[in-house]
This record gives sequence, structure tokens and C-alpha cells, in this order.
Amino acid sequence: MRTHLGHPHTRYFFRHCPTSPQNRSFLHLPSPDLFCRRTINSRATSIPDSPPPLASLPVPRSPPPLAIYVHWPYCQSHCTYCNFNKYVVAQPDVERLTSALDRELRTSLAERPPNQVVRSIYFGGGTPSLAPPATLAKLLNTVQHYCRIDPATTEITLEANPTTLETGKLRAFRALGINRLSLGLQALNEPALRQLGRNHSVTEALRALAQCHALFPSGGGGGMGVGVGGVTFDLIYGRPDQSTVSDWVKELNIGLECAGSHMSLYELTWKRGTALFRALEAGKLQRASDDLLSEMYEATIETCAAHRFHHYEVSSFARLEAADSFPGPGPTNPPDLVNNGSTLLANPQTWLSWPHQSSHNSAYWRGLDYVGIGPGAHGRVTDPQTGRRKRTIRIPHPPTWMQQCEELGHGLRLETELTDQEAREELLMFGLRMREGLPLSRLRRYGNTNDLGEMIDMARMQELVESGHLNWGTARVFDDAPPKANLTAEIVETLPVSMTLWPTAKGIALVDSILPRLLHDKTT
Amino acid sequence: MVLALSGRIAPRGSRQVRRMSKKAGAHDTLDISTYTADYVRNFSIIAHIDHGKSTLADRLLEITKTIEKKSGNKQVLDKLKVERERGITVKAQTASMFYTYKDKKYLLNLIDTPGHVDFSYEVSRSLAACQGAILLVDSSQGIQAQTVANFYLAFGEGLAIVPVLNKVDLPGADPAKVAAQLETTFELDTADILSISAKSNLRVDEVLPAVIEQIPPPDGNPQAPLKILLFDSWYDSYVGVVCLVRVVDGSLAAGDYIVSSHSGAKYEVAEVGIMYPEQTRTTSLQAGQVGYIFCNMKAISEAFVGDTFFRHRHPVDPLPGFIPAKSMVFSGIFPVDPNDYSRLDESIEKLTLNDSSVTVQKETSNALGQGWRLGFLGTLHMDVFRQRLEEEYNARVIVTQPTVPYRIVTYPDAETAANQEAQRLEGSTSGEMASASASALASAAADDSNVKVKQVRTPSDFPDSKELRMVYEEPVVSATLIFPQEYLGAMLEHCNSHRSENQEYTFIDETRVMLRCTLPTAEIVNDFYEQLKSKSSGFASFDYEEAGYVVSDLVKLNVLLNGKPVDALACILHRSQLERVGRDIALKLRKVIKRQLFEVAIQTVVGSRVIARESVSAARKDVTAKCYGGDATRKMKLLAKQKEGKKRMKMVGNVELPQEAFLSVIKQ
Repeated sequence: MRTHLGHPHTRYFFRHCPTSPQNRSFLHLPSPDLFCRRTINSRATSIPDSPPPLASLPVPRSPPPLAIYVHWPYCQSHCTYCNFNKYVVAQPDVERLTSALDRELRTSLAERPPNQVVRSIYFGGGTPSLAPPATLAKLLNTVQHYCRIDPATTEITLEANPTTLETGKLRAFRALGINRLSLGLQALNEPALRQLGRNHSVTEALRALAQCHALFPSGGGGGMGVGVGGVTFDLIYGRPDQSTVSDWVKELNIGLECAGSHMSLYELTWKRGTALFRALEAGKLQRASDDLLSEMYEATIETCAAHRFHHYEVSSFARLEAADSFPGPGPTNPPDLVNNGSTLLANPQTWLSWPHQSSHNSAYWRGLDYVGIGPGAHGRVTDPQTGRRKRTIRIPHPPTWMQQCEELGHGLRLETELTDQEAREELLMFGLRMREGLPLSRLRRYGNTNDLGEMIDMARMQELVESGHLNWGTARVFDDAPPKANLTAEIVETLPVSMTLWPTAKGIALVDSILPRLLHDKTT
Repeated sequence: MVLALSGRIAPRGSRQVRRMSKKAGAHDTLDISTYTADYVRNFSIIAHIDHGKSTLADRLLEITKTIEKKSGNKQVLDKLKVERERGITVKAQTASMFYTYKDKKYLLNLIDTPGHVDFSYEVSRSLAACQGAILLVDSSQGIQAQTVANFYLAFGEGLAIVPVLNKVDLPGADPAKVAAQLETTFELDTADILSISAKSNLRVDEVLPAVIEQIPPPDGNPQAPLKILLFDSWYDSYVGVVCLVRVVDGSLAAGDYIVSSHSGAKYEVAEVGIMYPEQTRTTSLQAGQVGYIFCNMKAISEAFVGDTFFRHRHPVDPLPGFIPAKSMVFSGIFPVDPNDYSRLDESIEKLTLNDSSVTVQKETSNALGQGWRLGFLGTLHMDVFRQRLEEEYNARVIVTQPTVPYRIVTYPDAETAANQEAQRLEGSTSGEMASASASALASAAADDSNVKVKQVRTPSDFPDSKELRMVYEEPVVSATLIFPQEYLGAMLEHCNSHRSENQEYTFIDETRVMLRCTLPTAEIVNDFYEQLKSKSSGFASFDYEEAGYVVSDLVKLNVLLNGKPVDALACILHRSQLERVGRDIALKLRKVIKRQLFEVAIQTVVGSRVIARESVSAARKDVTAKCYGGDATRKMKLLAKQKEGKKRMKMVGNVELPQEAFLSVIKQ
């Protein structure tokens, strides 16, 4: 972790909670001992020094917080890198699709306990911004019928392409309550956009971005500058047109100049079945070397850090501070609270970047429930009766999916109950992709165990801790934090701490090597 | 040597269980007692691969009406599928034939021999059951190394040789030239040599008369006490072990009790018979005859090829030449997936049930876990064993670099050791065949109780540093190479680069050269033959026989990964090879070891001296870029696959070592 990202943002965070005098004193960090003791006193059970026997573990009384994903399967054209479940159809039957989506949504939400607050809704695709606002309005209405949407805390994201946007439509979306826009920029370079099969120009992209900023201000949902809402965009690096790190860094800097509160910066994945992959196979394109890709990845994190974007997940970056209010590199003594094992509050970045992290994506990564609606959508839901987790997959092909929705009320293709081991490994797999890692409290709640050793080889873990790939210690757990706009220092103080396994900066880049090394051999 | 078979063949003794329907039931038991020794001929056909041995055998079986004459008779004796596919005979198959010559009825026993030098001991025992051999030579290809080796084996057994030129009707045939080669090389009289084509049945009818005329009948007295030579055996799941025997003296019938000279075990004979060409019961087998017996042996390991049997309570002197099977090369075999250990254990047991010449010892390696140290008669034998394990038992194994049985001779003191070493070194360079002096000295040493001889089966048996009282010895072979003269330079160079000694070459005709030399066994267990073939454009043929031990300056090369030794990669080398092999192994490992979480330092060392060092820097990035809700299923599947793959990775300390590491090091 780059040290200048540390301490200053502690202040940043609390400056947004000026009403609480304790915030100030909290800035002068109390001794970890003192701090923790208070925490421990208030939440004694969260320190799993001696894990309770499995039988006594509580079965979750109510399903975990809920996220909803809705898949819009149509696009105007094919992008050369994308192998998502998407279809280019000239005149899709939007009405039929809308009612099928609505039926499936009703069926799914009817199984949930009533009036649950929805944590996030995500319209993905495909190109969901092609959908008429009326469609999204209908779906949001349905959500509100079964659950609760809190305008101040429910993150509602829409994926959009620069091309398909018109200001009028954006306004309409905004008026529906959509508070976060994810713009598919992908590249800020004309030849690259053409190679990727994008039908927009750099200028159009930047213009669209500016419009989005105006309509979807950061914290737009909560109104305090912190909280739900804002603009995020995607950029892809390691593309065939980029031959040096500086090619990419230049482009990234442009992106950073116009960035909102969040960015997704991906290395290009060459997916079988895409035009790019075929060109690669045919020898017309070349994959960037591993070394170049490593350098780009590292440069991405460094460049973002210099612009005060925190690398909180492999490809996700959240803004720590608005440039104008940032006090500059802070004290040389960052609050690296990880020390001598037992007493510690660690990983402060977690909450520093917390306000702008994607609520919806974090739901995947933290093992929360998500209902997947629409053709090919995946879901992970807890059965309220049994407390067991299920994976759901919808029929991918839209006509077939729609037909089944009409006949059965849902387009489910597959529903699999996860074994405890699968659920645990999934928690670890996703957890280690985030800098905040996997708190044992989460493992206990969704994986039904307190014992990390059941899943991973603790000696190997220790080896990786010593080699600087992983950290193993106590940390604040934000899994249950109240809506982020309302997060105050007092509340942070009362958040539980838990033994947590989290990757270092070096480790997160190597998670795919680390995981199989950690996991026990027995197969799921 | 027929390494060109590249090991897809089943060695003798490990033949597949044959379930032949018996031609004769109890009601039509043959009586062959009228065929006294004078009317019996026991012979074999010796030939280089592809010179037409099996085709000739088919014709002889047809002529004698042992099998029906039809177009489908293709290599009837080659029962294993692999044998037919490859056109070779890999194990002995014996067939009895009845033939009338000059109004007299003869019982002719064709005793086939395994076709590979790995089994030369078995070949010699099969030949010991014969009185003569047809030396079959392709009249366009002429004499090849295997022809030479087999000739000398037959000659050494005192067999009458009937030279026959085959394939004389082929366009490239030059019978006169090949006949001249036979004269030059073997000093055979070729004045009346037979020129035939087994394939087109040209003059094949002259072969059996020649056999009867030129090969003497077996001697032996039917009235003398029973004496039987066991020269082959296999396992049949219905009747147990089937033994092929030659009755030297006396006569044998079902119900007799016989005793093994080697083990002293007593057996009741349940059935006797001849291979006609399948098992056919007879009333008896008597002096001079060759046939099979069932005697309720439970395991193939009870049937020692070369053993003499006698009638219970009537012991006789055993026949000479019996040597228990001894391993020429050892290799570690480990399951790729440690969970396969018990399954593999069963498979090895099943395979060795039919091949008593494989020695089995459990072995534990720090890198590869639990496995076995197996001893084989040769590298082909080893290769065949591995392939059968993989193909018939579907096992995935790692085979470590083969080790030849080096010897560590420890003398009472350093001075004696030095003297012995000096004497032995002198002996081996004096131009004499190394074998004679070496084995004489070795046996002298073995008789001296103050001298300890330890056989090395695995590099871990070999000390890291040599004591002054020790002398190291390595086994050598006496090799024969035959090739066109234009490759003489390349062949001499090839042998020199494999530490050959005592080279001698002679022209066997105007264009072809026979090179004989002594080679360390260790030099031929890897790819000596493959290289030889490629350096001679495929023209050279090669064969060898064991030739004892010579003193050698040996060292053990260890491989360290991040300072931890990988026992399965250690090897024993001659000091002159140290630098080259040490560098080579380090380099190869660098190429197969993937970048991983930590830097990997690869060192090859002798004791504490580093020969070569390479390193693989730590990986910087290995992470899937996108992973959202829809990716979970795929990602978890991938992870399961990675875990599966990890099982095939061997961990040495914190280093993940792929299987290819072992493979690449073996292929030097």
C-alpha cells in the first residue's frame, strides 16, 4: 500500500461528519489497545479467539441484504472484445421483454421477506440504456411493491454507452430514481475504439461523460457529497494498440481528469468467440507480454493513487477525496494499525474509500444475496426456509427465456444449492479480490464456520503472510455498516472487528496463484 | 537390439494372459511317444527385425498342416496385438509340427525367441532348448546388428546354424552379396545356402528338409532319471502358471511329482502337452521333446527361466547356465496424483504377476511422495512396463531418470582401495574386453569378506562424498554397431561422446562396417539409440550384451530448489559429464518452472560445490481482471480445476514443480 494514501484520508472521511466532536479526537488516533478494548467490550463476540462450536453458530434468521441485477440483452452493434450474453436485434420486442422481466422480478421478490430494504439495483447488459425509461420505471415500481428503495441509500446503477445517450433520456432515467451511471468508455483513443468495435468517438464519449456528471453528481442519492450515486466508467488496457506503458498512462490520465467517484480499469480479456480472439488466433493481433501487462497494472494503481483513487478491488478504484479539498500528503506516520496481531484495527483504506465503492459490486464480493433477473442472469440467494444458499442461472437466449417466463413466471434454467465448502471457497475467492479481504465474521455468517483452517492450509497462509502477499489480523468489518451516507465516526467505532485475511498490494495482483495454493486439496 | 520398437511391445514373461480354447479335449489326447529323439528336431529362427521370421513361421505351419492354409494366416504365432501391428515377435511362441520326410514322420518344434537384447538371458535359455537355428537374413538389407548378436548367442550355445536368405524376389535383393557377408562375418559355408521368399512361398518347401538334415536330433535318454529345462512361462487365469519345458532325459506325464532345483518346491503335474499350435494335451512328454506343463504353480515368480526340474526323490545335477533375473536399470515410478497410490500399487502387482523379472521395492521421495523403485532387464523392458501401466491400467505416472546398478566397493583401508583402483584401471584400458578382468576381480572381491560391495539402485544410495576406502564401479556393455561406411566418422564420434573404449571395426563387405566397443551401460539407457539412428539417417543397427563392471570416477549431482534438494532429480554421473549435465539440467528446469509467487533459485551441486545456477523470478501478476456475480460459477470451476492441477504439481519447499521437470531432465 502506498503510504500517502493512508492517514490523510482518515481526516477526509471524518470531515464529512462535522457534527460529531468525537470525530476530531478520533483523528488523533487512540492507542490501538484502548480503541480496541472499547470495541471488544461492545461486541465481544466478534473476536473469534476461540471459535464457538459449529452447532451453536446462528443460522441467519433473515436473508442477507439484497442486491438486484437486471439484464437487458440487446445491443446496437457487436463489440469485438465482448462475449457477454447479448444480441444485436434490429427491432426487439421491447414490450414482451419488459413484461417478462417484470414477471420474473415479481416471482423472485415474492420469495423474499416483505419490505426488505434493497441495497442496490443494477441494470446491466447488453446495453440497458437502450431500454425505454418506461421499462425501468415499471421494474422499479415492482421492486418498491415488494421491497423498499431508500433514495438516500439504495444505489441504482444503469450501464450506458456514450452513443446511445441523449440528454433527454438521461434526464428521464434520473427522474426514475437512477442515481449512478456506469459509462462504457473502454478507450480514449480513436483507433482503439474502432478496433474494439465501439460506435462512438472520444469526443462523444467525453461529452457524454460531462452530461452524466451534471445529472448524476457524486453522492446524488444522499445529498451530502458522500453516499450513493455518481458516475463510473470502464477503461480497458493491455489492448493490442497499446505497445508501451506510457501509451496507457497518458490515456488513463485523461480519464482521471474527467473521472467521477469511481472507475473500473480492466486488463483486456481475450474471450473465445469474440472477433478480437479470432484475430489473435489468426495471428493478426498479438497479446501484450506478461511483463508489459504487469507494468500496466502497476502503473494503473500508481497513477490512480496519485489522483487519490483507491484500488479497492482488482479492477475497481474509488475516489478518496475531491481534489480541491484534499489536504495533500499527510503525516509521515500513516495509521498502519496492523501490528502485533491480536489488538488491531487494520486496513484503514477500507473505510476511507468506502463512500464511493460500488455498493452493488461489493454485494457480489462480500457474499451478499443478489437476485439475477433477465436472460442469462446469474443470482445467489439464500432460501429463507432452509437458510441455504442457491445459485440461479436464467436461460440465456431471450425468446426461450421470455417464453418460459410467460409460462412459468420465471426463466430459471438452473438452480444449484451450494455446499458449505462451495459457499466458503466462493467467499474466499471473492474476498481476496478486495483489499478489505475476508473477515472471519463473514465466513461464519455465510459459510457456517469459524475455522479458516477447514478451508485453507494455515501453514501456507503463514508463509504467504511472511512473504508479504497476505495479511492476517483483526480489522473493522464494514459488512453490516449502516447506509454509507449516514456513516459517522461513532458508528465506525461501534463496527465490529474480526480476524481478517486480506491481500497486500503485491498479493492482490497474484490472487489467482494464491488461491489454489491456499485451498486444501479435497475437491468441492 | 531392437530399440526401434520403441517399447510398445510386451516382453516375454509379461505376455497377456492367453485364453486359448484347447484343441484337444480329454478324449483326443495325443500320443507322441513314438517320436523318439531321433525323430525330433528342436530349432528356432533367428533374424533381425522385419527380416521375415514370423512369415516364415506361418509358411512352415501351413506346410505341416498345423494350421490351415489361407490368406488370413498372418503371423499366427504373434498373438499379441502389438506384435502384429508392429510386425515383430516380442516373446517366445513355440509350435510343434508333424512332418513326413523320406517316409519318416518327424516331430518338429519351432521354438521362437524374444526379439530383444533386454531379454538376452531368456533368449539364451530358449536357445538352450534347441539344437539348431535358422539364421534368416533379408537379402536386400543384409546382416544387421541383431543378426550378429543372435548369431553369437546361438553359436555360443553350440547350435547348428542353417543360413537362409529371405525376400530374394524383391527388386533390391542381392543374395550373392549377402551370402558373402555371411561368409565374411560368421565364417559360414554358404555354398548350398537356401534362397527363399517366405511371403510369396518361393522354395519354402526346402526349409524343413534342411532343418532335418542339418540340425542334429536332441540327445537324451528316455530311460534316465527325469531332467527338465524350464525355458518360458506365462500366467493363465484359468490354470495358473503355464511352463514351457524341454525334457532332457526321462519322460513325464500327468500325475508325476516334480521338484525345482532352484527353489526345492514340489509340484504335481496336472497336464502335459504340446503347442500345436495351441495347447494340446498329450499322454506324455519324453526325452528330446518340447511342450507345456501345468503344475499348479500359483505365481509366475515360482517359474525361474533356466531352472531344472527333476522327479520327486530322484534329484539330478541341474543344467548349467541358470542365472536368476537381474536388473540392468532401475527407475523410480510415482503416481502423478498421490491419491492413485493404492490403485497403482494393484496395477503394478498385476503386471509383475506376469513378469517376474521386474523387481519391486517401495520408495519414498521428498518431491514425489510414495512410489516404487523398479528394476528392469533393460530400457525397453522399462518402457514397455511403463506403457502397459499407462495403457492397460490407465495409470498416470512419473518415471524418474533411470539409474544403472553402480557398485560401491569398500575395502578395509584406503591403501588397498587405491591399489585395487589402480590395477582395475590398468586392466580396463589394456585392450582386453573389460568384462573378463572386471568380473573376475569383482568376484574375487566379493569372496573377500573384508570387502563390501554395495549395489546402488537409486542416487540416494550414493554417498555425497567418497570415502578413501571406496572404489566406485559402473556396469558396461559390449556393443555392436553395423552401418554403411560413410557413417564411420559419425559413429566413432557418437561412441566417443558416450565414453566408449576398446573400439574395433571391421568391414563386413565392401560398403558396411561393424564397430564393436565397450560402452558404460549408463550411456545407453537414455537416448543413445535414438541419436544413433538420427546420426546415421536410420541406417545403423545396434545391439549389446552385458560386460561386467569397470572402475569409474563417479559423482552424484544434486538439484536444489531454493536450497532444498529434490531427490527425484539427483543423478549419478561420470566426472567428465558434470559441467555439461549440471548446466543442462539447471537450464532445462528454468524453462519448465513457471514463474510463481516466490523467486525460485535452481542450483545443481556436487556436495557443496555449485555447478550451475539459474533463477526464475517471482510472478508479478496473475489475477482475473473481471469477476462479478455472473462469473462466480465459471471462476469456481476454474478454481476446482486449478486445485486438480495443483495435485499434479509437486511441492518442494515453497516451489511448485511441474511434472515436465522430471521428464525434461530425463531426456538429456
